[in-house]
Amino acid sequence: MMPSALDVLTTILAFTGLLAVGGLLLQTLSRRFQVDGSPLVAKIDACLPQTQCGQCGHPGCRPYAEAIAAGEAINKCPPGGAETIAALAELLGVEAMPLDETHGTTAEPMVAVIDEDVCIGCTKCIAACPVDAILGASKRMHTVIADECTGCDLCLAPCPVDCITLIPRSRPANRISTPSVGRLAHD
Amino acid sequence: MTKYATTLSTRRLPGGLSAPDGKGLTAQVPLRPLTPETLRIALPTERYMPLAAWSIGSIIKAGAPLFMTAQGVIQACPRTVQVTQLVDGMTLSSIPERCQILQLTVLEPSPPTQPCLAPLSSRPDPADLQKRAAEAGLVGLGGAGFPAHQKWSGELHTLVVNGAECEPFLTADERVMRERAPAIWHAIDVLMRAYSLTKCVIVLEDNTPDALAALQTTHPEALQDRDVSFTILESRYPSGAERQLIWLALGLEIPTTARPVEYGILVHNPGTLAALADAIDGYPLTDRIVTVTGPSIISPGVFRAPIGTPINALIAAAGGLQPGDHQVRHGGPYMGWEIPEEAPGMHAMTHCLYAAPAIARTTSPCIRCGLCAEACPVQLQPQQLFAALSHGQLDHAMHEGLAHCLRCGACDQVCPSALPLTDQFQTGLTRQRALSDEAKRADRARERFNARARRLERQAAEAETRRHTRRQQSESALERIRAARAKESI
Repeated sequence: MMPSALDVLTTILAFTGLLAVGGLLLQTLSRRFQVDGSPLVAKIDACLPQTQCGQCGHPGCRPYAEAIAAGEAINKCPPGGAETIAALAELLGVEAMPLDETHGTTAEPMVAVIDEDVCIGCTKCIAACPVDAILGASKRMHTVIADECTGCDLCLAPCPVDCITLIPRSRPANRISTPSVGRLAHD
Repeated sequence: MTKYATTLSTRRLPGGLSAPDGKGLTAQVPLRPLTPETLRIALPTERYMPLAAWSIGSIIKAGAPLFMTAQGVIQACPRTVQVTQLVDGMTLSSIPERCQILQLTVLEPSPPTQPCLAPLSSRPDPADLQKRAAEAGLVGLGGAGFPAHQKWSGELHTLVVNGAECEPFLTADERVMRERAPAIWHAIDVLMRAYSLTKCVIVLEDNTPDALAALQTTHPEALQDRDVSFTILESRYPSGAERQLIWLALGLEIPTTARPVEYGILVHNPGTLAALADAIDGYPLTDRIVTVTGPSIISPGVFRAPIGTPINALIAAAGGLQPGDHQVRHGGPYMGWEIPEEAPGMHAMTHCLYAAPAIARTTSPCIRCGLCAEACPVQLQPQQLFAALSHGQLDHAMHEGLAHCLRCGACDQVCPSALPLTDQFQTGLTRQRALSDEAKRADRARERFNARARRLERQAAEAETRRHTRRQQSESALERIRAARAKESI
């Protein structure tokens, strides 16, 4: 028996309805769970040391991650050194290569220190710091939050009185200079 | 005579060693006080706050505060001293770090004779006790050096006194229990009342009957209505490791990722308790009992020495080293580590110096005999971990449970190939910690960088909006002027 015209119509309508519902569902879900930016860039960014020093020629680690995702060489990060290159090579399935030393050489982790007697409070280093690790105000002494400093050296050049130096992060005696606890019962 | 229940633990440590104990070398030697001519105190590698004048030539009184560590613990000056110099050096830890060493010339050989801090009442409240522990420099004297006051928090119910000094040759804790039993009881009493602890278990090994007798004959009246008991363990290394001890004594397994206090269990070394009793009386931690022992020491002994006593002075006091090549270890023969000649003075956690002839290890490849797995007290597979770490597969080693390793060295002792298993595990764990610290730093830097980028963007947008509004305002003003002129000209 041939299907009646009504049957054909019902089938068409049913399938159209089903497809419409499915399509709508997919669209809502894709909007709901949309990933910001490219997941590859985030993965590359996770391999980079986050020094934000710009030695690779990009204004920070994330911009370099974006450039790598677009095909740039993976050996331009001196703070990360061979380890970062190896991690990137593994992630991207490319050959590991030696560090491109035109961008700098791998050094031990550093931290910036402001000579507080010399600082004139010009705020130029504060503006230069990529991770907001320098505290201070105009015509007031500035100081580096050592725990947050990445040792990128971007604050050195803007300083008009050259009062910022980099010291190895492992150096001891990172001490608080003024005792602020009350005297004990001793004397 | 025995007022407290004394029970033998029925549980048995998996693995471990029942090695000859070597404690006989120093167990019966009389305790000698020792005051060196100079003190070499290593300053913390982390942030700290000096509390005394350190200029060369300045004099610091015995018991006066020297510095406060990042954890808020105040180290007192052990003797009346004159500051000689501040030099760079390395710490005494198993992974030495660069530090500064304060060199002091001892002017008076006696420890503080008057209380340096106001003595507390015999029933101090928890806050006072906590404050006192921090200002008296109280840290765990068993070897870890964890600040005592930081343990006293949360819902505590049981105090475990760790008198199980399981490592061969060590006798410092046993000596403290014999010499300072009344002080230990006093501290137990104070802690149990201040934190309303319902139970106290004193855990000893079966090879320290003198310590048990000393504690049992001095039990105070005050504690008689309390649930205080002794548990005796079969002497087996490393039953004195904190988590192992809790399991053996109480039958509770504390996960590696948690601390016993999170489960209401407070574990203290008897030395820490004796120091707490002193702190309550107003004396900060200035001295500790240290065993100087081992086959290379001429006359092994037990000393009460101030913190900062140079390692050489301790060895000299024990008659020096036998002729020949020797290695000096900080800690015992298993868990200790070799220390260089130029080490700073002993710190609060120095319970033992052990010297033995330096024998070059000739290692051969792993033959997969599995003895290490049988000896491992946390039931790891040391040979697998070693293989993974030798090939740089730290992730794999962590997956296999490297984090649970106690670094007790039991596997080293049984390995027929003399492989440096524990060294490799220590290196691996240190590397893992460094990597995770770096990862945390990187995450923070990324967050701060992104926050700054967002702020700059927002500021740029705000500036743009301001410009736009100003332009609109001036345009509307011009418009009004034009309209007014047009009106005039009409």
